[in-house]
Amino acid sequence: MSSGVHAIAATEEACIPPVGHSRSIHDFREFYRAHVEFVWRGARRLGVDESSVDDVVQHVFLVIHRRLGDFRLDDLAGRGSAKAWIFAILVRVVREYRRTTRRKSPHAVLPHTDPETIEDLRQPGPHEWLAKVEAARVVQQLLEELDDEKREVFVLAELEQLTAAEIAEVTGVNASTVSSRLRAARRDFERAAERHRRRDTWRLG
Amino acid sequence: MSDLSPQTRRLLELAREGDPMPRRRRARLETKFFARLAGGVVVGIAADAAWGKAVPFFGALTKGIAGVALVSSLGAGGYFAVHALRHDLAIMHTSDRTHGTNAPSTHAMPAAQPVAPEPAPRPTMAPIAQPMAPEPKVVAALRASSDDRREVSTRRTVATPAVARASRAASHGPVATAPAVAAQNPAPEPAVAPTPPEQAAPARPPSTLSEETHLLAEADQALRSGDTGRAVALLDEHATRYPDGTLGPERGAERIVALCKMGRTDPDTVNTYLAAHPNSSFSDRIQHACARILSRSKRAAR
Repeated sequence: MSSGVHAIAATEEACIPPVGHSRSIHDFREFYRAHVEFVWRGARRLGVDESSVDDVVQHVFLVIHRRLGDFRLDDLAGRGSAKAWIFAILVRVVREYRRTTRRKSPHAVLPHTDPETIEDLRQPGPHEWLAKVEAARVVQQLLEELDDEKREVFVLAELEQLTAAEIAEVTGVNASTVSSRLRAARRDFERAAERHRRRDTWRLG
Repeated sequence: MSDLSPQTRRLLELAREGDPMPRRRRARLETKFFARLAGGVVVGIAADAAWGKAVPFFGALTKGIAGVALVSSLGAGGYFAVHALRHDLAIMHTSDRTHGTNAPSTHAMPAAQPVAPEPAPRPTMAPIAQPMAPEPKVVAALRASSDDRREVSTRRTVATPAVARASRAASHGPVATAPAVAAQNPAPEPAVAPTPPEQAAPARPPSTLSEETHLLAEADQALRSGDTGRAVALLDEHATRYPDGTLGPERGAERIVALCKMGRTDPDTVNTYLAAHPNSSFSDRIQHACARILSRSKRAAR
């Protein structure tokens, strides 16, 4: 186990059910609750379209459920990071998903706002929230301009804030490839962002 | 180190928190997931043959839906709704406290746990998971110690339905897992489970969601068909076998309904339960079934 994974472990300790007494499948629901949001968001960021994101999330947890049979949650908490582990699964499920839905369906192209996202806006400071939601929407759009490999490292680095070493661990790609991919991804993303800003300025101006 | 402009950085920073999972969607997904989890396993048992060896990636999930339908038709669908509605109560424990038989016993079987990796879901879960070809390093490392068990499970997944069933029957819950796993694993951990001898019998079904679901579905069916006595017996069996089971809250609700129908409970128990689970989707059913008992207490109060 690399030090990278341990590093994440330190920050993720809180998400993991407490260690110390026997735990098994009945903790699965707790485990699910502690991580579902992050899996869901990760799936969206990695480019799973709105109509399939639930399926992908469920699939990730089905895999987790099966794998949890092979070791206990204790092991997970003690020996590595749940987040890195889940990411490793998520990344693979998403890759598989992409393979099976190679070209996007016509529905997938349409940007879709979940009406339920809107009702969540009532939380603190509407302006702040709107800014965040709008930023997320724009970022989502820009991410779509990256190719799959670049998007993967970009999301893990810039949105999930994993280090290059952690990303290498999670994606199974070697560290130098991760670095060069990340550089390229940043360049592409920056260009896309720049285009977006210009469009916006033009529209406003 | 970064080629990103400050503006883009700011955008990303904002975006990190700008995509919360809507609460209701979260609740719905949880309901769906646990129903599907159990449902998929039900399909596995009821229609093993339908699960070919090479189930396509999302095809497997589609079949899972059929499973959910099956569970629902047995009347078990409702078990899962409860959790969605009260998912804020992060821990499920309260329902068991309302009646004596279901005392939680987290520490009941510590010795058996390390070698009790929930074998049952594999026959059906595995086909779904198998296309996950490249195993992450992280996972590989975490699982390094369980290689032989994995082999066993892989073998089980390609077994014929009959064999799969047999292997399921030959495996066992956390309580009883130790002996059989020991048999599969040449280097077993010392499994001196302090469990009653009859519980260690290898014929015990495994403590898994699927088995739990089965038992509760059966109880629910009995209850709905008016065989309350049998329902209570099954629920008690569930409580004995899975004192700390995933479906504990559902069992609690079901039990109250059964006891009310038999007139064998008191208003306090019912009210305590309802107060502890204000959002339970069972609330209506409990209130309906316990109407007479509850009204009796109101009259007494007057």
